[in-house]
Amino acid sequence: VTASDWQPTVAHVRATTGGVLLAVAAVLLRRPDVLVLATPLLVVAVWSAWLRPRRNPGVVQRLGHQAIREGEATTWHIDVTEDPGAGDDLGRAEDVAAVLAAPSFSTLVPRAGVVCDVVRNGGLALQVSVRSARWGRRAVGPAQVVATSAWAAFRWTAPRALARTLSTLPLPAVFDSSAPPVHPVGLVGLARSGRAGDGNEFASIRPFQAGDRLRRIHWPRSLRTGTLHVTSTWADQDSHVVIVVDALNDLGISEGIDGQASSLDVTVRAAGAIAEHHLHRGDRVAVHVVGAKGVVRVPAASGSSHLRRVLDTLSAIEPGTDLRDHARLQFGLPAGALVVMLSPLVSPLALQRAFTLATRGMTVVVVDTLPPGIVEDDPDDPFHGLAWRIRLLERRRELRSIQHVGVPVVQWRGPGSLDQVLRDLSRHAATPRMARR
Amino acid sequence: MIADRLDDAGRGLRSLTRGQLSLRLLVLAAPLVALSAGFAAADGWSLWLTLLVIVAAIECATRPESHLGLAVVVVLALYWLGAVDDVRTAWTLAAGVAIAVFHAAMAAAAVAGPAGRWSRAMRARWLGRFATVVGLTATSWCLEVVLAGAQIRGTVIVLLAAMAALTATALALRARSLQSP
Repeated sequence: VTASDWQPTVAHVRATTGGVLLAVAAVLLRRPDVLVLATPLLVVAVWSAWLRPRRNPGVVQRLGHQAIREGEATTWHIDVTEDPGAGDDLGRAEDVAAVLAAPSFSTLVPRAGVVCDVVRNGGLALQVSVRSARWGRRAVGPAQVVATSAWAAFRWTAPRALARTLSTLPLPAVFDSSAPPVHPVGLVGLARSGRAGDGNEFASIRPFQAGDRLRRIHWPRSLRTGTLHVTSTWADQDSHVVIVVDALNDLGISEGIDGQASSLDVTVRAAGAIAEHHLHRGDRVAVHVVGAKGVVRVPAASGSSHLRRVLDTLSAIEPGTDLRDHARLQFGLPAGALVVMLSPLVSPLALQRAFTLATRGMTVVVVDTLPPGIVEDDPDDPFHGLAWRIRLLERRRELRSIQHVGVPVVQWRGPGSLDQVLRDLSRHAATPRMARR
Repeated sequence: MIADRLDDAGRGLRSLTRGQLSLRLLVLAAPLVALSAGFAAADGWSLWLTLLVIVAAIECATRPESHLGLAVVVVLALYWLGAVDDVRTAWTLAAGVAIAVFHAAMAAAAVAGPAGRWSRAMRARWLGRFATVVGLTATSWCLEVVLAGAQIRGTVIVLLAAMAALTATALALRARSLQSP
């Protein structure tokens, strides 16, 4: 839609032509009663022409927020302003209507995205509420804005504005884990290490040694025993968690936050939940996305701002846009990192990658995010259900073989999904093992 | 084909807001009221003309941006010219108001589309202006009733003056409508 000047509408053509034709007929045929029939059309035509706007209004469109969470809403604003120099003109834009098309997985209020009102005091502000029901980045707008003059006789179409990108961050699923970290290596975070050092967790009261800080002296015990004692603590340590997101495909039907979840919905929300859990504990979290173009890697960091970065990256995932075999690519993972791979485990590439990491000595946990009900029969395709059942039988065999290599596979069930397997891995990490290099 | 059109019409009808539905009903009813006034004034009726107006009114209600509205007005006026002899009948006022309703409802229906929900200020402004037009139509009918029986001398001069005024009005309307702002 391009900008235009004020154009006469069909209504104005009808009023002008009809009114003049009827009036001419009335005069020529000497029928004053026909002049009565022409009167409303002539009055409207003259009135409309008298109030024809001289200047184009200004229209500014903007989006209330650039990023929201799933299920939240923002507002598309349309501000219409009259030209300040039009003060001496009678004609002005009177009614303004705007239509905003609904992006995918979004609902609008009003539902059809159509809003209209009259221009008052030289301006008008219209709003359309946009509620996003699924994570992702989507273009919103622009709204098509049309102004009409008195009696809808002249119409002006606003120049096309720019669309805005709305990032809908995934709403992390509920997740909690009480399992100890597998390989705590850093000196921050809430995980208690196995060795003494600076921290908050009380370890013991022991005799003073050279190098101990004076503020650690435990005076009651020192006075009682006659020798200096200090309070020792366990070192607070963090762990390095790498979340690998399989975005090679998106299986199942996605109905947004309010309905059925696809495999990628489960994967992304689970990744957000795991990242949020570990970042709140002070761990360092990195994210790798497999099978999607764009930002596919978030380097390890900690803190609440890092969670926003992780969620922003997850929201930008476009599944299946990069189907190269990543098995040979290097993650650049440090030793001791815990790799959590979230995948529906339908593509062999994801399992291949988990296998490669495990054989290099990394601690890998695979979380199965295949949603239930994927094998339901399709009435339009009799082989759909059969094909899925065959594929799932193959998948079961592949999972057994990767579990034999030592890679645990767990179903995503929200809180506690990883507890058992992480405890097992912690115990296993304490034992000597051989890695194939 | 017909089933598809019916489906489209059904979907379009469901998408209409209550206000838009009211406007479309007015677009549908107003030509029939004007035609009925013509039948009452002429003391006769025509089935084919009625069917023609009904079909055209349905099309106008479906597509308010259609030029068919002008054709409906012209057909109604032609019938009036041909069939009605009593220039002082009160049915003229009814027909004039019906034409005003028809035009205003069509124009209003095109402002915000089928799903547009009008604000109270929009309704108030349109109703106020419509009342003014109806008042002027009623005034013109009163003048017409008063002057219709009067014998005015110099009818040629009056005719020429009326034609000149109409021409000037038409030219002014055209110039005002088509000029660039």
